[in-house]
Amino acid sequence: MKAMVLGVGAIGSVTADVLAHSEEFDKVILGARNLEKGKRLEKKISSDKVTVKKVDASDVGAMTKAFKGLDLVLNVVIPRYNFAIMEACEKAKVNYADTAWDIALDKTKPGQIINQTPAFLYLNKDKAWKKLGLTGMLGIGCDPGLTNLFARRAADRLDKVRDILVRDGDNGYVEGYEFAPMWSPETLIEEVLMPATAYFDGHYRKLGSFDGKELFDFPDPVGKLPIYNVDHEEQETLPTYIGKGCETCNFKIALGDEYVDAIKMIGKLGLSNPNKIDVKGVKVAPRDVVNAVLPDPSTLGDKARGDCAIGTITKGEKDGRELGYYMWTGMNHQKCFTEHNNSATAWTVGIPLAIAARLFAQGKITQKGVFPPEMMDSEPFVEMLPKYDMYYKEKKL
Amino acid sequence: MRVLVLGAGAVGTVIVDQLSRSKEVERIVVADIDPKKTRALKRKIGGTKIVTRKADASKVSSLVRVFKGNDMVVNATIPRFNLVIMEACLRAKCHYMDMATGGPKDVTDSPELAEQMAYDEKFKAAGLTAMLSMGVDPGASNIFARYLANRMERVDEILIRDGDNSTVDGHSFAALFSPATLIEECLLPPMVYRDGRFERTEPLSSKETYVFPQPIGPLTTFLVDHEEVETLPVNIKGIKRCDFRYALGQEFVDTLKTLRALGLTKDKPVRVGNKRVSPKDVLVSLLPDPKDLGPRVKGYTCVGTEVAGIQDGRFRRLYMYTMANHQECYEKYGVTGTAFQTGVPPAIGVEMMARGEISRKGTFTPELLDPEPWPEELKRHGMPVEIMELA
Repeated sequence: MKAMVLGVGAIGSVTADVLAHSEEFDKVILGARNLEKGKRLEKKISSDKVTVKKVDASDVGAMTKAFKGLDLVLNVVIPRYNFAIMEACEKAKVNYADTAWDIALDKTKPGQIINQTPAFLYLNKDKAWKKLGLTGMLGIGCDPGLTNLFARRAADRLDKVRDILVRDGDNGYVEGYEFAPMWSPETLIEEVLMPATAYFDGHYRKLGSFDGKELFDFPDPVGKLPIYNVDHEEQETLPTYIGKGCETCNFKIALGDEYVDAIKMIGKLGLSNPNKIDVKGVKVAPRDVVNAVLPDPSTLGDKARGDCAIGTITKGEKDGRELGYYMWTGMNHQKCFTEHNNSATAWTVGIPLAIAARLFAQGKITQKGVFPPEMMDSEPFVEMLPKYDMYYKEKKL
Repeated sequence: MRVLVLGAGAVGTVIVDQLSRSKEVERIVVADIDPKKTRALKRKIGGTKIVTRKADASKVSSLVRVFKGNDMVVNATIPRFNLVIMEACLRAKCHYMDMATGGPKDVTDSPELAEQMAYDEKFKAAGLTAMLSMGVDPGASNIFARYLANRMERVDEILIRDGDNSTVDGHSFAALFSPATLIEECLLPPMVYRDGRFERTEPLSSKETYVFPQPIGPLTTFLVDHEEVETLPVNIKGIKRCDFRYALGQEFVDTLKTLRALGLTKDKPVRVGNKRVSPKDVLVSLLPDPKDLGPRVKGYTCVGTEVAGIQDGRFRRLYMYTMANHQECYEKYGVTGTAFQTGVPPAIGVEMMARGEISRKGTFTPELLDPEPWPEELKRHGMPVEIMELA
């Protein structure tokens, strides 16, 4: 099978490396906007299956040409380009997978009902893709991705589902820095300042920023951390696709007080503004300046300490009795860097995508159309995780 | 006397306004790099004394041309240009006055007080006067120190306390004077004088409540690096302790600390795409421009000097201060209380020069002036001065 990994950042390098060393793939093309960066990755992977191609993810025509003859495109560029890449896949008749979508497209005000979550802007292509005989796997990273699969796995063991609660915890820190997000600061700030989507009382709804603070006891060694509602992909699809009477679905992430204070301040002072302002004759977006002063997450790997635990609580009924499951995965930052030369953040996203690609190549994912991760069978994913040093754990509630 | 006021910002406006009513001043040249600002200032104040000129404060030769024919230059720009302007004054044979100094040079990119003081001989030789740091604090605060010290047999402590209880509608992180200067000042390790020695302490540490006169009352203050501490212990002999405290709200301090942790208070440009920009400049451009705050600033500002020592054989602690109401100042003069308080002392200094009441040559700071006429002069110009006994 021939695949392109489009995007040669931290996640792309994890996924491409796995594919290059998997028997299912005889050709892995690195699609890079910056050819030099692509070549560096090619050299790092050092497999004769790997080649580099310059690809501009905003140019549908050029991408269509570049995709022709491929079996699968794995999109790990920023979600802004998903529509263009999917369109090129349709035209070139190539299967598709990504790890995130553009949740910022929704502009519903806090307190209001969301007419349609952004997920459906992509999911509505389902019929057309079925007709074309193509597979489009959306959001198959860690969270979203594994967290959706965990919800499905638990829901399959229940007669009725009441709550689906995704919980992302990380007690990690970067040695020598007071403030150093472990993934794109731009994404972190945007995600956290955006009003969060949550599902309750029969509707997808918008909450405010920093709503729903509570302490969550993450499994060892992460421990108790304050968590907040944050805008994310899972709660945009799970209530619809899992069904079974789901009443509540939300996503909460652990944020340290210093991050909350800093991000609130960034929002209040206008430092999150993506529009350019004039600074003594230089036109810059304050958001880009914040990004520029913070350390580049890709350079922090060796200094990251601590653990993450990412999972889903699914509660409901079985045979008339209350039953629930907490299913999770996790990683130690330092161990991940020492053994895999990658940050745990990139690793935990890049591996599930690579697993999805392998399962697709093995004929274990056969659905056509465009669908979220909870429409896939979790079993082969769970089986393959340990092969890549990612564990799967569950506990009955 | 012919006076040139360089810098048509808020403080420059106050100085020109005050001098436009002085019988001692026959002509005022207002110079700025932005002709729109000087024209607006002339329109606002009116009268026939004001002449506008364009001047670039970074270029000595162009300044010399503009300065020539004036008796005195009042520098109401930012401290970065102090040395350039002093140099131009020497060449154009003008007396000089400013309201603030920069430094430490490695941090602020502005000349330090010592570098300005090094011009002493040159000014003396030219028969010229250079009054440094002649605003409200530094400025009036130094004069208050001398005034109280003159009334004591022994002076132990000189403590400058600057408090402001104002709020700015719609802004929790607004600066009433140059935000760049405020950020810089607050993050510099403050110089303090303790037991006869100068030392530097941690910035934004040593929180202490100071009870300002009514209607301000108690405010949280922090040690801040300021001009007075550098010269008062040298010029007023025998003191054991001197420091400067500025009232800063806890929220302001927390915000500033977070900004520092993020690296957003750094001057050094960073690369953003294919451009280079100083993070601090970006931050400052997001903050409200103090001159636009005007009527939205509500509350009082108080600048004063606490002097402790022996008077008539007993230990006393006195606080000499001046207070202004921001809204009142805005209604009367179209500027904040802070700009008003900063602009009045230099205007008085010019008048005293014109009347021959200040004849000292060379470079010096305000505590070396005769303080006696000042309380009356300040009152006459709309700045009341009070002395309060502290327990």
